[in-house]
Amino acid sequence: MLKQVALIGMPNVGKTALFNKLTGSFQRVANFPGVTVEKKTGWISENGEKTIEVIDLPGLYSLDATTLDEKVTKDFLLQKDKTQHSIHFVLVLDATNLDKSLYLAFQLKKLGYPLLIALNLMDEAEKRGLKLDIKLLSQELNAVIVPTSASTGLGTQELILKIKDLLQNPDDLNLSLPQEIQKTFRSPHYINGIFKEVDELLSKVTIHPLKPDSLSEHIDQWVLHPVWGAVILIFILLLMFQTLFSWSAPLSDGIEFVFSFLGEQVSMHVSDKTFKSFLVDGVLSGVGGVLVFLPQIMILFLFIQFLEDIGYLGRAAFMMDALMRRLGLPGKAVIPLLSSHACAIPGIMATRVIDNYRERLITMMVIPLTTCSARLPVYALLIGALIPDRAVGGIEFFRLPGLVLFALYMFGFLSAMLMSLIFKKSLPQSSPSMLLMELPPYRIPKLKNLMLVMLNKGKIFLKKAGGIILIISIIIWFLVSFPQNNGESHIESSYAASIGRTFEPLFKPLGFDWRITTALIPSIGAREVVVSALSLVLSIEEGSEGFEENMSMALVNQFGAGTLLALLVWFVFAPQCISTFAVMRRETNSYLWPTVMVAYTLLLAYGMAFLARQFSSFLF
Amino acid sequence: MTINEAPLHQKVAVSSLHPAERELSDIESRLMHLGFIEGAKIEVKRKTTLLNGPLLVEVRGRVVALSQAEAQLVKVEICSC
Repeated sequence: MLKQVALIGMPNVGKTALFNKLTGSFQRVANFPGVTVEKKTGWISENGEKTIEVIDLPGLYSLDATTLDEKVTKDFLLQKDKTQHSIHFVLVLDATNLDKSLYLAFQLKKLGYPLLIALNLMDEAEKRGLKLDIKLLSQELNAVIVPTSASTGLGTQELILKIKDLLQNPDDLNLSLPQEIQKTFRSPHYINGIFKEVDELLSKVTIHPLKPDSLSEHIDQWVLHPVWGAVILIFILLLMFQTLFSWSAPLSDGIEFVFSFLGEQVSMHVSDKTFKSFLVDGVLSGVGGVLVFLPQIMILFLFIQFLEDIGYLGRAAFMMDALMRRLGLPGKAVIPLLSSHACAIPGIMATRVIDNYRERLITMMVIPLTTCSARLPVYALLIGALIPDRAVGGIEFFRLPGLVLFALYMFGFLSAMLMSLIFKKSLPQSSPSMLLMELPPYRIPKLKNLMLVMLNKGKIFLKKAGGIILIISIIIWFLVSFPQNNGESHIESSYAASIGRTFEPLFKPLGFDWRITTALIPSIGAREVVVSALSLVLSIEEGSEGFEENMSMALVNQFGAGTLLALLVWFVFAPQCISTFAVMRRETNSYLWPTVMVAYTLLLAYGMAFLARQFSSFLF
Repeated sequence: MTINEAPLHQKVAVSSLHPAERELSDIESRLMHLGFIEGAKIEVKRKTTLLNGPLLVEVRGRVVALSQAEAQLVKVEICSC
């Protein structure tokens, strides 16, 4: 029989970090409540054999679940989850905040669930002076307690042994919670009673109390200051975009050199002209053209993860709440909106923490306007072509391209705010959602976690480059190289030209000719493809020799600055990739809203790109 | 008075959260589960006056962000705690 155990607990107590430690998985962790919004599974392995399935469930404050993510966990406890085989779980408590996390322990104890408790963040609690009589705590709760630290690995092995003991228990629990019992979870008398029991227990088992977290309070005086807080936020973002360009440059140059070298080797050793073109223009130029942006994407993820780990995102939600509410969004929407700068898919999933459906829907609808990492290669390529690399205000570190990149991200974010205002006015009113959110203490991010996130995201991007991007590049190469005439490719008479010309009239007002149109179509699958598609179209047209160095120049020469500006603006607003559409369909359980999303972003992209093209003469 | 009217950094105690004759709403239930129960000692740490923004309140050793609408649900009185 399948052995299965779930991790449950309040939000931000380190369940996912513990899950990763137990299973060797690499699920996303961050320092704010509500990171896990759906259940995730992994395995405890012994001698390479998977022995116990571990389920990581979203956090819940009490069994009286009020948000979608909390209901996932409640369904598990009520055995409504069709994929579950048992109801055994480890309750994860935050040792630095037992006042809070013991509430759930008492609720579960009262219902007769056997308790195996991981007393997590124990290292941090001890550093802050906490001393507990764990034996007494264990007796009072009638629970098995293992002090753990997901960051150091403290207690992990012992916890695995205790999980095995728990699963040896032959009693098959069959707990049902009738409606009458569930109603009591919301009774003030019941809630007051549990808190009283928590206080009594803590006074018994606490040998030395926890020192208050004064550091977080001091930092918040600056970070949450109405003026300095905004200055700090803008500074962090500016620094991030400058760093994207400056730190990544040597690495990007290195990747470009490698692909250029490989191209030269292939040119020297492969004699068949078509096969050589396939390797150099189709594979190396297509994939290499996108891979040069790998360092920028990894640095972007590093920054986002840093902000998440340090505990900044919850603060950003607090600072933005009042403004966001006027625009139809709750402050909590800042978290999915900022996460969407990495990728829109987890961003849309993260909206589950918003309890009001209307506000959740508005957030999902405007997420495509935030700039996901797939747009970064397109921005970087077009900025490189349009913007001179010069210092701003005499400060060498602050370069004009970085500033323009920052402006594009801001442009996307402000457009999202404006659209949410329009949705707010258009959709039927309902009562606003809760802000009610616990702010986590500041924590120094673990370098290892940051590096692992960065490498993992890099790996995902490499897989994408070796998968969909490579496939699309080969298809485009075929379309631009065939049919051949006497063994020669003539791009003007290629299949790509026929397809591009079919759609060309539609995009002509934007200045997009058939070459750009051909590059735009496959970007529905993955946006980065537009870079390889353009490089393919131009390299075959111009010849591959020395092409990489001259890509920017070739773009300006071939299309003109006005068209490139229109293309840049197009990508600020253009619809998200097909995967985003699919996730949106799943989360709204309808085709209507994803269709509206695609329609409005398409219209917006077209209109704004048209305006950009018309006004480009004032700029260039 | 309600929490949003409480002076900054003044310790106050929750006097009531909801009228006894009806069931708790989702927001009231969440407030109670976060520790805003009768008699709980709280302190307003920060108020955002701009655009009638949210508040930061310390309750049971944790810092909780509340919107103005949420804060208006919690009645408090000044205590010498």
